[in-house]
This record gives sequence, structure tokens and C-alpha cells, in this order.
Amino acid sequence: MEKRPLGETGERLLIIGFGGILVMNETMENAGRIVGKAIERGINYFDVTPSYGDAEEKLRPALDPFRKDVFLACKTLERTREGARKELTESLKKLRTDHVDLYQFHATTTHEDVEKIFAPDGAMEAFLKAKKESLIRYIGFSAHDEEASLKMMEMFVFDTILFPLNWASWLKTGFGKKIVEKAEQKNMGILAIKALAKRKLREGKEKKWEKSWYQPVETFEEASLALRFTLSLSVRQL
Amino acid sequence: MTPGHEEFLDWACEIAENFKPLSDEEMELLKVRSSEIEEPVFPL
Repeated sequence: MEKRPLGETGERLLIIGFGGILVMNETMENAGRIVGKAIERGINYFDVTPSYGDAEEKLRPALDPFRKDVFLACKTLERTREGARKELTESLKKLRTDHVDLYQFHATTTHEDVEKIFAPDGAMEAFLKAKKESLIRYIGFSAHDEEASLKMMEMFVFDTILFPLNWASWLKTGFGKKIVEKAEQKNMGILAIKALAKRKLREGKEKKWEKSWYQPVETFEEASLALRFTLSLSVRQL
Repeated sequence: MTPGHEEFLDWACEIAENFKPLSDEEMELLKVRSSEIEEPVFPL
């Protein structure tokens, strides 16, 4: 499978990554099986966060034998220095590792989020300290909002952005174009999520996929086109 | 395991292993289909 460079980090990752939410609420045995399968297929990027419930605890034993061979990403919703430091410490403990490769500000949604992150005693101070201490290697952020993302990119030279990029929103509304353009200018690593998202869930309709809050594409044919669409953008991975 | 996760992983890997960019015809097809979507997920 193709590998692509992750911005200026020097890392090369397979174009398919593993979202830790997959192992949330699964048994240890099942988590081990699917992680083993991912490793077998060559996947070397794993992403997790405390907001995925018990995913860190489920991922850790499954990933233990392969830790040195994989790129481990984690995220925090905390916006203060103290909160982010505490959460990073807890994540490292749960993941039983001395560092994560990429640590990200999770779900930066509003300008208020951005202001809090960069304020005195804000979470960025904890990230920078953690990087100096080699607890994290790279700094990135995840977002679902273009304006907040553009603001983040103005404020700091991030290594990566994790952003929803899919054909339905891109072609219908242009959503994501400004982000890819800006991230490319800055030579950031672009990690795509929600490549298979199609439309909002309709109120009152049954939710088919437990861990999905949107309606994904419904046929393999469309899913294949959707995945290839996102991989055709200059994303490094999804 | 949640039904479909392992199959999904295999499927995604196979698409990626055989990845080729969309042809002009495939891109046109997606453009037409996207125009029919009433509420794309993003922007939120």
C-alpha cells in the first residue's frame, strides 16, 4: 500500500489509518483481533483520545507488541495548560507508553476554543512543554470547522491537521477546499476523516451505525468512489 | 466485534492497495450525485 509523507515531519504513513473509536466498547479479545488485522495489513497510524470512552484501555494491550513500529496519535479536548497536562499524563499511563508521536487539540470548533488554547495558561503551553520533554513529538489539531481551523493555522506552525474531507460536502458546498489550500501552503500533514460521510442524519430515522453521528454512503460502489475521491486530494492519510 | 468492522477494514485496505485517482467520468458522476444531496454533513 502507498505511503505518503506527513508534512515536514519526515514520517511516511500508509494512506489508511486506524481510528481508535473502532475498539471503543469492544472486548479485549475483539480489540486485539482487529488491531492485529490492521497491523497485518501494514497500517502504521493509530489515533485515539480519552473522549472515545474506553478506547485507550482497549487499544493499549492490543498495540503493546507493536508500539515501536507504529505512529501513535492522541488528542485532548482540554483547553487549559493544567487540564491538557493532566490529560496527557493520563493518556500516556493508559496507553502505557513514554510518548505519543502526535498530540492534537481535539475538536477546535470556535474562535473561543482558539483563544483559550493560545491564552496565557492555555493548553498550548502544556503542549510546548511536553514536546521539550519528549512526551510528544509533533503537534497538530483536529477540527470540523473551517474558520476555526484557518485561525489555528494563523496562530502556529502546526505539523498536522485532522479534518473531514469528503466528496459530498466538498462538491456540494466547497467545504474543505480552503483548508487543504492553506495546509498545503504551510506544508502540513493533512489527515482526512469522515471520507464516507454523505449527509446529516434525518430526525426520527433509525441510526444504522452505532458509532456514526452522520449518514455515510450506503453502497460499496459509492463508498469506493468516496474513498478514492478523498485519496485523490493531497491528503496524507485517512 | 461490532458487525462489519473487520470487513470494513479489509475493504478499505483493498481500495487503498489498488488506489487510482478518479477518472473524469467518475468525478462527473460524483458531481451529479452531490447535487442531489439535500443536507451534506458539512458545514455543520
